[in-house]
Amino acid sequence: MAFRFTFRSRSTWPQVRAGLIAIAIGFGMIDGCPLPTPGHVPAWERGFVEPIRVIRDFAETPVVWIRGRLAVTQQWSLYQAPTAKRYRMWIEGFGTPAYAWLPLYLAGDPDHAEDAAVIEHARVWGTWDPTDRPTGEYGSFVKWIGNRLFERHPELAAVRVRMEEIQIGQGAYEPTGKFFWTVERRRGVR
Amino acid sequence: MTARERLGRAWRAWVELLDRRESPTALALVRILLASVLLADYLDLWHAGLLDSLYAPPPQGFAIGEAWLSGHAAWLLGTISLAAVVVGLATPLACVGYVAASAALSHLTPDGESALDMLSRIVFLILALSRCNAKWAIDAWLWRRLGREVPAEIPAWPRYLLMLQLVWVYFSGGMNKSSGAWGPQGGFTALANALSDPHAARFSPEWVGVIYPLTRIATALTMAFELGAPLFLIAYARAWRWRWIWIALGVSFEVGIAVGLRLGSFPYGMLALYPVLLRPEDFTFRARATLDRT
Repeated sequence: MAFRFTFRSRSTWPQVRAGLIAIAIGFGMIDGCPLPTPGHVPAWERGFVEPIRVIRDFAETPVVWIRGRLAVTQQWSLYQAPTAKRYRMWIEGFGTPAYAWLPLYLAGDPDHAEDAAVIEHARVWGTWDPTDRPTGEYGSFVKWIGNRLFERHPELAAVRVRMEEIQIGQGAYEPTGKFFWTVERRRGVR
Repeated sequence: MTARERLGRAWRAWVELLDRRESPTALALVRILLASVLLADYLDLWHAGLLDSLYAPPPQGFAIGEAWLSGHAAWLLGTISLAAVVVGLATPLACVGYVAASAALSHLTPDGESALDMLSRIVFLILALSRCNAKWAIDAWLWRRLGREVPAEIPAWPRYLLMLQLVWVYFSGGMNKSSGAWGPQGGFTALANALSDPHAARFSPEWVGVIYPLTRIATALTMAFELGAPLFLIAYARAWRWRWIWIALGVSFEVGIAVGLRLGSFPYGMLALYPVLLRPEDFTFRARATLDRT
């Protein structure tokens, strides 16, 4: 009886395994269905993209917990949109003796590179580098870098972080003078 | 032949494909290389003094999420697990330990990770189910000492899955490229833009102006490489030689990223996965060639 069970399970296992792998690939392909993120769907695609999204979300129901728990997806975005319109981060300090906003860190400028090794670290960079909107961590990053700079510079009364829109051309970028997502931190204010 | 017979034949071929066995070299290489890249990355975090900054909530750091482990505990679990994976000690358990730690860090600071971290969580789960510890691993040494058989050939399906995953990463990346700069309507300027972006570029943008036409060719080749990824699977299955062109394009793409952009361990981790793209005979050919030379 034991021999028969072993024999049967051995011959069945490759079939079961093949089935499980096919199911895993199937769910992966459903999850990887290339749909634009909600809110970024072009008008002409809305008629079919949203119904497909509803079907995809329903089909994923049995495995959606894996995506949440393990923070994984099969929708890969590798340098999705390097457009000519980009941003450049300014970190400025206000205090004695100048009583004016002075740049401490300016992305890509070796003359204003305060704390650049930390700010530009590959794991830190992603927390402040915006796409067409700021990152989720941007507010807490500003708070953190503000506190860090207050510690290093007792003369500073305030720190300001903002993103300047730039236009990238052939081997150069032009500042536009337009600033976005300006956040100011004052010393002693939580 | 009826549709049912065709389906039955396809199913048998599928089962047979996933039942194949091969040398553990490719999976052992991926295990060691990828875990080494990530281990170096984790140690660099500690060396740079960024653990609190990245994974503690404000005001100490800038983490915005919550996880079942604190940042320090998750980092420690991840580091120990990666070290164990590199040397092949309790490999399946260490792989799962890394996945749990990496997921916790991702929950704490979602934008503090690259696509490599997410990909490695998938890769290590597959490696945990494989016999990647049958070669160049303490596990294999211990099995031998205990008198247990160490298989010379292991199931090939984990490598097939990893190959499919890598091909899908590139193909999906190509499909999700939303900017016109990647295509002819945007003048194939995406790579030049990326290499001039003060947030990501490693060098000052002046040099990009000198090689501007080359960056446009490279952008077009990148899109051909990513969208042509499924063709690699056909070339692989038929052992066509031009599959090497796709692999060479991929290596150039990753090396270019490593040189021109500050993306941390991402390109190195991607290259660490490339052994799964090789056929088993590619390894034996190389081994034989080395033996012949010596």
